[in-house]
Amino acid sequence: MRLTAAAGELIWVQWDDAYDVYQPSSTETHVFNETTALILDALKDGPLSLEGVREWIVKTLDAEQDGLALEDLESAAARLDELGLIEWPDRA
Amino acid sequence: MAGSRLGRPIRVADLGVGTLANRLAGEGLQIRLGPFNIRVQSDLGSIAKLADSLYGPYPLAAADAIADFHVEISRPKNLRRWLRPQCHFYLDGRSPFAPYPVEHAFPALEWGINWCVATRAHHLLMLHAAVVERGGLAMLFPAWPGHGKSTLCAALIHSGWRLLSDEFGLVRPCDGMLLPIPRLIPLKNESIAVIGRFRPEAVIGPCFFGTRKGTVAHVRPPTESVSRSQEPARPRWLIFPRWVADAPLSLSPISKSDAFLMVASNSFNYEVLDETAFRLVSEMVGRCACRSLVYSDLDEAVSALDALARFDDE
Repeated sequence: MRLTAAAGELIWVQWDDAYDVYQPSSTETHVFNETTALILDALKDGPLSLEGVREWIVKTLDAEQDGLALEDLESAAARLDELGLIEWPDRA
Repeated sequence: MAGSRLGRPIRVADLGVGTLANRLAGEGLQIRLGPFNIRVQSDLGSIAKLADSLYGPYPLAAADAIADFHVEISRPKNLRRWLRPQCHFYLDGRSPFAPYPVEHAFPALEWGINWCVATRAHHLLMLHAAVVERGGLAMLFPAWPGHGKSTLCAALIHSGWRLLSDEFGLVRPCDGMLLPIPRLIPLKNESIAVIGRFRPEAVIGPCFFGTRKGTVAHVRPPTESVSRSQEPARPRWLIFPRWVADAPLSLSPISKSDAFLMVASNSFNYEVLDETAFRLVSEMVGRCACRSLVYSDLDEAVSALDALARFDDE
């Protein structure tokens, strides 16, 4: 998966527990949790597989591999795909 | 200019009922309501009497000022003038709503003016919120209908707070300041007696029974709120109220992300202003202390909000 141009235009506001994000391409406002924000962060350096995104997040957060369920990541990535913020051609 | 009397702008009450009725039936009465000039016309004598008592402290707009809205509440020109009399609300000569029973003309006019603001004033971000002020700082109450916003607002403005608005949090895009539009406060059903008991000195107009929103009566804002209707205020507190019968008072912090969502979803024109609205709501939430308020007793609620403002340390 990789970022779309729309993802580069996002306007972020970070609160303690979540992010409010304005998407100029759709004029919509979203609320993203940490996981969703990290997926976008992980893809800034280039395309990654879902597993690659998980590895990046685990490494960045210095977390346990088991602490981040692949299903949660997949569901957040699917939402980003629907919003047009990532392209995920090999999505199951 | 509208001229002045004793160094102050001419007010509606200065005209007297006779002149008021003639003006309403003729060229119209042009009233200054916060940032808007509204020209009102009516051929109904009841409107003149109610305007004299409830709009008495409101300043007239300058004679040569451009009216933002031309509204009229009048009888139809056909036989319905005589058979179960009705009235129509007109904006710029067109009637956007079904007719009302003539005895509901005054609340219909009030709703109509609110509708004009909500659907036209897109140069401002409009939040569906009551707003009161003290010491230059504003407390906002974004809420859906039925959550006790108007009742709480009416109580606060008779307890040392200034009314900016019972219905519209008008946010100025250039600096995020809140503009006053201190309109009459429409109380519904049980709230009318509640405020009557809470502050017997409050000026409350007649009850209109059987309207589309039940029994409605209008509270006239204190004169100071009306005379300071050109003084904006800076947002400082976001309070999300909910009246629950017999509930103990609760005033608890809520997350800024939840506050953002509730403010944005209580806006009349968030989608219209898109990125500007996002920025304004973000800035407002960022600078405000955010609380959820559950209350059943007005005295307790007012005391808790007074204390929040007094010991503000965020």
